[in-house]
Formats: sequence, structure tokens, C-alpha cells
Amino acid sequence: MKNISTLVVFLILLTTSLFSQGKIFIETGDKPPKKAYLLKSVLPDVTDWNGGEVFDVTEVPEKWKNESVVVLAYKYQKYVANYKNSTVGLNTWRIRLKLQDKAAVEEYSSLFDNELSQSNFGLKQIKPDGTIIDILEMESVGTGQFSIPNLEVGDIIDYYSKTSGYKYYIRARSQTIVNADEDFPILYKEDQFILGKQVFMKIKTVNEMPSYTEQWYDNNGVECESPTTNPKAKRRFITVIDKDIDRLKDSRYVYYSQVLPHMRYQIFVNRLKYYDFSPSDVEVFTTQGTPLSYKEIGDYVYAKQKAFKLSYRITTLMKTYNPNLVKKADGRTVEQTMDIIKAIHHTVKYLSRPLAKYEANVYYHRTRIMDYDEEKYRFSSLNQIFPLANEMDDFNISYDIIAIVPKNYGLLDELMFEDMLKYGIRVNLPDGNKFFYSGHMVYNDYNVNNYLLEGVEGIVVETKKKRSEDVKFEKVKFPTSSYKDNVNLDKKTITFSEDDIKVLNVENENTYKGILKINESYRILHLHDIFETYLPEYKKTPKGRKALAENRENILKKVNEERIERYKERLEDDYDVKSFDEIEVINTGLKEGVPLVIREKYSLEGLV
Amino acid sequence: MSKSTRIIATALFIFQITLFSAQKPYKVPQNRIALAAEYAEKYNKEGEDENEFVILNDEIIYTFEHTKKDYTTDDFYTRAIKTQHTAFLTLIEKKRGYLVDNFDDESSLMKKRFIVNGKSSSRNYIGRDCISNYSESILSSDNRLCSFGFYSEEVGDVSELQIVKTFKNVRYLTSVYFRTNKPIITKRIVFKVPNWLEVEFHEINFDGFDIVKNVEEVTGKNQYTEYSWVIKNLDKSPEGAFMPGGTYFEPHIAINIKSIKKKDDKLELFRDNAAVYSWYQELVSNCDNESIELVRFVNNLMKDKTDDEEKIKAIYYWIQDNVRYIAYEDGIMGFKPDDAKDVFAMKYGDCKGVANLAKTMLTEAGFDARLTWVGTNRLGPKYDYSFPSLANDNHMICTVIKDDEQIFIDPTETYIKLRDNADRIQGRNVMIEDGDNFIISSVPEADYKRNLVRKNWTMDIVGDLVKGRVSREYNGNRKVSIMNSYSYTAAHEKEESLKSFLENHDKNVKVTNYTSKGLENRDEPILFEFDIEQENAILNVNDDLYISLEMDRNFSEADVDLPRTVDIYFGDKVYNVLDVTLNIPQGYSLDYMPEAIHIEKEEYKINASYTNEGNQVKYHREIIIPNRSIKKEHAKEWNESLEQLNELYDDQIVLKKN
Repeated sequence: MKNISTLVVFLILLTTSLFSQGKIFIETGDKPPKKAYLLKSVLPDVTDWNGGEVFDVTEVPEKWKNESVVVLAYKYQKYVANYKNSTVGLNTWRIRLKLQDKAAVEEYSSLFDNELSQSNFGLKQIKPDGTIIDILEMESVGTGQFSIPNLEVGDIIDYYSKTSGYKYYIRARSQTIVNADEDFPILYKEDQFILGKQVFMKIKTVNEMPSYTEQWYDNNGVECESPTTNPKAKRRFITVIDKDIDRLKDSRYVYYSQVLPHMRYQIFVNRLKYYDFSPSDVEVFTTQGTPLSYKEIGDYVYAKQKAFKLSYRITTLMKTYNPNLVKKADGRTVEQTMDIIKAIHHTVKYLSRPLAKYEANVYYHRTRIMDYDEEKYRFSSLNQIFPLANEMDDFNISYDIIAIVPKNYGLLDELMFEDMLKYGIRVNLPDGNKFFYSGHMVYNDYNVNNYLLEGVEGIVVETKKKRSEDVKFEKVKFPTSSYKDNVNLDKKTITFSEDDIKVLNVENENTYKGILKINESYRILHLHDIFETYLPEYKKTPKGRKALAENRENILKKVNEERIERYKERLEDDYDVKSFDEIEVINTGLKEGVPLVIREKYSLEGLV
Repeated sequence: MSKSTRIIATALFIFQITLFSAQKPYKVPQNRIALAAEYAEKYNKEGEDENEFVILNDEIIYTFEHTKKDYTTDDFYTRAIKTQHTAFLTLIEKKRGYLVDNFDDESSLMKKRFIVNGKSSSRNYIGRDCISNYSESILSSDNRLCSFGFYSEEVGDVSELQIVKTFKNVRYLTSVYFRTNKPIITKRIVFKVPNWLEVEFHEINFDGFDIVKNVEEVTGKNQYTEYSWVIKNLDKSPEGAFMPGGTYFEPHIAINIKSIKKKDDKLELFRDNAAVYSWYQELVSNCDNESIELVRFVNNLMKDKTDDEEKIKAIYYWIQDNVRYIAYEDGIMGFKPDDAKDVFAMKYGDCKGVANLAKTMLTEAGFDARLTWVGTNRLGPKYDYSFPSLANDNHMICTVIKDDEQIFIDPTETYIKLRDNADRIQGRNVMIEDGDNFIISSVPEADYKRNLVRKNWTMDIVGDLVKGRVSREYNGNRKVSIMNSYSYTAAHEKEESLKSFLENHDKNVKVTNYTSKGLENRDEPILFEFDIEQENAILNVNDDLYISLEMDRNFSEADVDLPRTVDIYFGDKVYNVLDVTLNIPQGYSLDYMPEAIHIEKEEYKINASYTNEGNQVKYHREIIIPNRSIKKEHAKEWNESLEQLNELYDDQIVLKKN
């Protein structure tokens, strides 16, 4: 159970017999829900102890006899209804496990899960001879643990959790379910999505994942044709069933999207289509398996550009510390254009911050400790290109957005989920040449592109001014860097100490270029601390911002000194360093496009 | 008023408003900045963790009162109120500080106040953040660890937190400590004891601390006796490796509430150990242990067993094997055992529950079995029932009295054999039930040899590899922990985990042909035997072979930071022995072997030596720590001994080509 959250899915039987006999819907038996839309809901009950033969299985296949735990059956059901153009839902899962050794008994005898504390919970325990010991049903496990009494090797536990709240809002982000688990094999696994009226779903199964089945029911729970032919069709059932899933032996070096069977899905309602950039033209019943159209991609780009025009302070800051950048576009040279791009990149590099940090500050917002506007500097990796593009607008630089599917997510023409798109910029330089720019990867240089985009086909989306405008699309490939651009040169000179033969004198020179510079820069420069050091000053007044801009180099120098100290500490911790004679960081990574070089001299003991 | 006058008046009014509404930013006075700099220099030493704050003043005042509402009828509705006022001086700008306190169902927060530089403020108050203080090993607990956080911007800021907390039942007020995780300039602990409350204070670990006690009778409307303890310039609580529990070394006051009067009634609480025992007995007597199923089960378990020893073992081992230990730390359940029949049915329980089950089963089998309260070695030596307190014990076991022998049964242990007591209860005083009376006894101390870990390796050099046969023997606590780990490893991971353990998780080592004994038998040592092949163990320099015969480097990283203010505590007694025999390959002779070391101190012994016998080099190393700990005064000596040991570990023998 502890691993339920990682447990995942799939296969689909073309004809599911589970719910196809007579009156298939039953009342949930819950307290009458407050919302009218749920009063109408009648769902197949996953929690019915007599609810289906897949949950009656007691025997483990011979090949899994030596497994610690075997999942005999697992079913997840997500019901989503449309309430005033938002989504609300009800989640239920049920799992039936056979515990085959003492480790399994130890692991599962105490259930400890936040989800259980907020859920209706039921448990059935079956002894090896088939005796059902007890059936327990309760409102909530509460905080702490729920311990299963009298659990022994060979027992089966069968339990469910049902969310009792109805305020379940689903973001229109795509979700992934992978049908492999490192802890146990799975005999039967079913995921079912039940969608109310005006709730839409996109779904795609990948890497030999079994496909889904689709069924329609009317309000009386009778299976019917789809709404295209039967207007009384109210609920859509999307079901994915997988069987006989071996335990994943080793997940190291496995990237699920490339290797493991999985499915990706997205559930949304109409209201979200502009707000969260869901498809602008929803084909109500035909979204399954349908790739995005170029027009849809154009709409996302437009919407994001509108939503992420947030960076006026950055512009102010740039203009303050480097007024020379503000020149009219006419007559601007290539070098001047590149200088602006470099400056935009460099400025935003130290203003963007990880999402987790942002959330922490939202949490503390009431304290007003950090009352500068976090939102202005928050760029998720997905959307950060848009504020950067807006900066280019402010400086009158001609550009186009490029929408790309990163290498590990497949091909553009097969893409169904817009949140898998990444974006780049193609700058139209004054001499007619193009410069491809992929934004920030925390500490990359302006001319080092995200490796996930390199060599990947994308479409150039011409900037449009209105939603209704037609735009032209052009296919391009994001440029690829040479391995020679990414250099890590590590030169070590080791000599025996003249005073003590057991002491080694080490002179070390590390050079990092290109993409390899990022990690090393990151190690030295932690964004968090830079903010702690100087942003609180910057926040206060326009004067303060100006002061910051003027003292920028000094502040960063101070920060660098601290970094170097930390770097030394790390070296001293990692190695048995006897003494640190000298450490010199030639370029800590603050300068754009210049290699990072670290020179160190130290003595080591204990190796001879 | 003319129009122009009105305009001027309005302008003046607006000016006035502007004047007063413009907040002048607070400026920290220079003397406080200087004070902060002084303390920063004193307390923030290079190479140590920095103190962001010092506590200028930390005052804790306890008062007592009868409550109006009926909370606990047996305690005359008496509650204690703790008022803590703590003033933090900021040494490093832009830092967060916290005041931490424990709460449970028996205590609650009444009031909090936050003051910055003399003014009440909510601006930099982060808030209260509580986490439930339970883990997977605790089934339920009402304990919540709450931190009251604040943010300080400037060096020299003084941030004050005032927290008022009530203890609903004075019975559970057992101790108060002086130190925290920050240096304290002045600490004052005060008890205002009304004349209707009889209380005794025990000063524990006060030696070496300049704590000034004062007792003062306060007269007037509310008469009370004020007990106060003051200490100045108190360092923060020590941290580091091999630390014993805080009760061993932290100066603190143990509180013993003896009686409470209200009008003509008088309630006796914990006047002496008999009173503590009486309360425990009252809780125990409420247990309903009778169960036909349990009786049947015991009778069945005893069937065909005639020997008493065999019978006790059968029950003891059955509980160890079949009843899981899970702690309850929830209100009264922290003291009252679960019914034996419930523990039997559920197959889980806390220490009190399983001890009660053991007592019930052993009694049913005809033995004189008794519940027994004990403080494990997490509690300092002062907690030995020399004064009455609920804090004297944190564990319950069962004692079988047979032919004048006290056999201690701790069913929370797994894979421990009869009469083999875990280090954590060895030497500890116990309170054994004896009807209306009780017996204070103690669990016998076992010899350090109980924890023998012995390893033998016969080693050959074959080409670039070191090969040989290894045997390993584990006893005592180490054996129990290996049996535990092995039994709770998933079936499909057992072989791989065991192999990795035998290979010391070293990729250069390959183990084959292994056998094991005793992994599932608590009555005999664990014995592993296996073939070993090791790469990269030999350094060949101009045909001279350099090789180390030390395979484990036991205690190589057990040195401690100096100065050490707390005894070095290992938890278990230590007895490690390693014997390696190297067969010198043909064509080679021994050119060099490291010098032996023999260190024999009262608290530990380290012997390591190489000998040359014919074509063999023998390495023998043993480490003994017979009493689990080393006094803080000997910490420097301990470090020096380890330096010697490490030098030998780093050294190698040299074989020269003939």
C-alpha cells in the first residue's frame, strides 16, 4: 500500500464483462453529496467485496512463488464530473495482495498513508485456507497508522480507499501511469476513468501498452451508443486493463517514457481551454489518440505570450545597469543584438528560481518576509521562453517562437499533449542570419542550448497579434552542438612532498565548457543563496534597484567568494585533504560564453 | 473660517498625517550591534556550526492552580502553567529562529506573543509549525513537536517569544531542562509552588555547572514558595558522534509531585516508589486478560513439553516470532498495558502489551510470571528508582521467578535467546510486581564476550588476486541485528543482500561457495564460511608486493571532536577479533611488517600484531570495549589510540622477490 502511489497500469480488454450485465450501476451508499451534479452520479462500486471475479483470486502463479509480495488484483477508478466548468471527482482504488514472506508481513501489517487518513477505508483479510477473518470498514484511518491484526505469511489482504471529498480539482496537465513496479509483480491491473457530461479526455498508450476500451452509458446505467448517435449517452467509460506484469527487476538507467509500457492522459473541461492552454477547438468525442494540430500549437503560443508578459522589472533592471542597450532596432548591428540577448539571458539567469522555492515563499507569504513579487521572476522550465520573448519585444528584436517536442517524448506530429511541448526562440538577426536560443537551464550560457532540444524537429510559429489570425508554420531542426563544444579538461599534477613522502601535492586545473559547464557552475553557485544575499535589497525601492544594478559586480563577487569557500569545504569533506594551499577560480561561470576554469593546489594524506 | 484658511488648515492636516504616517525604519542601536559582535566572536568559532542567535534571556516559570472545570477528578482539577519568555539576539542577519516545545493531549498552548526590538509585532513572526512526533515504529502518539518561528533581518535585533502552555494534569510534569541548541546568556527556571502542593525537586547532572538555587517564601494574597535556579553563560547542548541520551549529561530538574490538597481533601500522588507502583498496579489491574482461545493455545503449546526451561522458551520464542512490536505513546496508553487477549488476537502490541501477554501465557503454563518496569540505557544512571518518578522507566518486560532465579523476558526483542538480555536493559534497575508490594532488582550485566564478532581469513596470493577462505562468527547484539535484517529482507532479495554483506559491499571482493549456520536459530552463533577473491588488494612495485591484511578497519572513524564534554557512548559492549593468515607465495620472502600495537586502558583494549611463522604472516587484531563507554576525560587518549590504530591500518606488509 505504501507503494500504491507508484503502482501503475494498463491493458485493455476489448470486451470488459465486468460491468456489462444487466443493471450495472449501484448506489455508492455514501452520504448524500451536497452538489447536485453528484446526486445524479451512479458508479460501479470498486469497493463491493463481491464485486468481481478478479478480486476472488487466491492463487499465485508458480513463476512468482519466490516473490515477497504479489498483487493479485488492482483497480483504480477516477470519476470526474463537470461542475460549473470545473472538474470535481471521486477517486477509488482497491488492491489485493498476497504476502509470501516475513518481510512482506512486516511491510504491509501497518498501513501508513496520508491518503488513507482522508478516505473511506475497507479491508478484508483472507487466510491461506480461504477463511475470511474480518471485514473492516471505516470512515478514515486517521493520523498515525492502521495496523492489521493477526497477519501471517500466506495471508491475503484486500483493501480499498475511497476519497470522500468532492472538491477534487483536476488540472489540465497530462498524467502518466506506468505499469511496472519494483516491489511486486501484478496479476491483474485495471484503470478506469468515468467521465461525466462535458468532461473530456485524451489518452495514449505507449511502448506496447494495451489499448483502452470505450463504453457509453445513459443516466439509467444502460450501455448505449455514443452521443454522436445517441443524445442520451451521458457517461463515458475509458478502461485500460493489463495482466501478468512482472516485477521490474532493475529501474536504474531506465527512462520510462522510452522503455516502459505506460499511458498518458489528460482530463479537462471547456473552461480550461484558454486558461490552461487546453485545445482551443475541442472535438468533443474524438480527442482520443488525435495529435495536436499546428493551429492548436499556434493558439498555445499566443496564449502563453499573453499570460507571461510579466517581466517589466527585468527590463527596468537591464536598462538601469546597461543603458547602452536601449537603442532603436533600426541600424542595430548583429553584435549589439547579441549583446542584448546575452544581457537578457544573464539577467534572468539570476532572477528565475526553482518552483519549489517559489512555493515555499507562497507558504510564508503571510509573514511578509519576502514581500517582493515572486511571480515576476518565476519561470517554470516549460514556460520560461515566453517572458524572454517578451523582453525581446521590448528591445525590438525580431524573433519567432519554435514549438518542439523534446527528444524523450517522441515526434511532433504524434504529439497529443500540449504540456509536453517545449519552446525555443529563433532570432532574426539584422544580417539575415538566424540565432537559435533555448532559454535557461539554470546556469547555461546564452549560446548553449538545452540538449533535449538539440537536433529535434520543431515548428516555427510566427508571432501573431490576435487569436483569430492565421499564422504560417515552418518546420525546422533545432541546431546540434558538437561534442567538441562540450569540454571537460581535467589536468592533474601530482608530486611527492619533499618533506614527507606520505604527503602528495596535487595541482589541479579543471576546465569546463558548453553544457559541461552547467553542472560545475551549479555546484559552485547556488541560486538560493544569491537571492538570500541581494534580492531583499533589490525589492524595496526603485532607488534600491538602481543601487543593486550599480553594485551588481561587487555583490556577485562577494557571493563568489562564499562559493569558493564552500567548494573548498566540499573538497575537504570528499577527500582527505591535509591542507589547502590555494584555490583559484578563474571564471565561476558568471560570464557568458567563457569557459569555467578552477585551479586548485592542495595536499593529500593517506593514499601512500 | 475663510476659504484660504480652510485650504491652509487642510494642507497642514494632510501634512501632519503624512508626517505621522511615514514610518521611520527601526535602527538597531550601536551598542546592541557591538554586543552581537562580541557574542559572535565568543560563540562562533571557526570550523564549527555558526550560531545565528544567542539567547540573551530564557525564563521558564511554572505556576499551579486548581481548575474550575472537572478535568481529571482524581487530581483535584489541578494544572500546571508554564510561561516561557525567550529573548534572541541576532548574530547573523536575515536568519530564521525557532523556539521548540512538545505538546500532547495532556498539554496545550494558551497564549503566544512575539516582540521585536521592544514592540509587539506580527511582521516577522513566521508562525507555529507542528509535526506529529511519530514514526512507522509507533502505532499512535499524541506527541507533537511544535516550533514557533520568526525571521530576523538585522544583526543586533532582539526577538522575544512568550509562550504560555498548560499541563492539564500535573502528574505528567516530570522534568525541565536548562540547555537548548543555542548559547544562553541567562537562564532562569522558576517554580511558584502554592502551599497546597507538596513537591520535591531533584537536581540532576548539576556538577560542573554554576547553577544558583534560591528558595523564597512569598507572602500576601497568594502565598507560595518560589524555587528558582539561575545559570549564566550556558553553552548550547553538545552534539556529536557516540552520544548517550540527554539524561546522562544534561543538567535538569526532575519534579516529583507528592500530594495535592484541596480544602479538606488530600490526594497522594508520587510520594515514594510505592505510590508510583500503586498507580501502575491500578492501571494493570484494569486489564482483561482472560480468553479461552489463549488458554487453549497455551495448553496446546505446552503439550508434550515437560521441561520448564523448554516451556518458558516455547512461550518466549513464540511471542518473539509471532507478535509484532509497535509502540503506543498516546495519553494513558503510554502507561496502561493492552489486554493480553487483544494482543494475542491482534498479534501486535507495544512493550506493555507484549509483556502482559508473556505474563498471562507463562502464568497459564504454571509459572510465577510478573510484569516488570525498567528504564532502558537511553535513561541516565540517576533514573534507577532512587527517587519516585514516572521518568524512571520507559519500558516494560516480564520476569519469571523460578527457584529464586529472576529470568527476564523481553518479548519486544526478536531472535534473542532465554537469559540473553539485550545491552539496553543490562545492569538496569527494574521494578518487579509483587502483589501489593514491589521488588527493586536489576538485570544482570553480561560479559563483553557476549558480543563477540570473530573473523578468520586464510589468504593466498594468486597472480594479482588475493584468494582464500573466510569464516565469520557473530554473537550477542550483532547476531540479533543480522537475524533481524535477514528475516525482514524480501525473499527475492535475500541471497543478493547476504552476498553483498559478506563482500563488505566492496566491488573488488567476490564471494563464492558460502555456507551459513544459525541464521534462523537464536540458540547458536551465526557462522558464515565462504571463499573469497579480492582484486586491487596488492600493489606491485618493482616485484615487491605491498599488501594490507586488515579487512575491516573497525573503529577507524570512531574518533571524536575535542574538547569532549560528554562521555563517549557506544550503546553495546564491543568484542571484535580478526585473525588473518597469509601464505607467502613461493619465490617471495617477508621484507617488512608493521610494528605491533598494544593499548590497554581501563575502558578499552586494542591489540594488533603481525608475526612471521615460517612461510606465513599472521595478523591478529582485537578491540574490546567492556563497558560500552569511555569517559569524556579520556577522549583525547581515545583519539590518540585510534590514530595509532589507523596508522597500523594504513600500513602494509612488504613481500620481496627472492
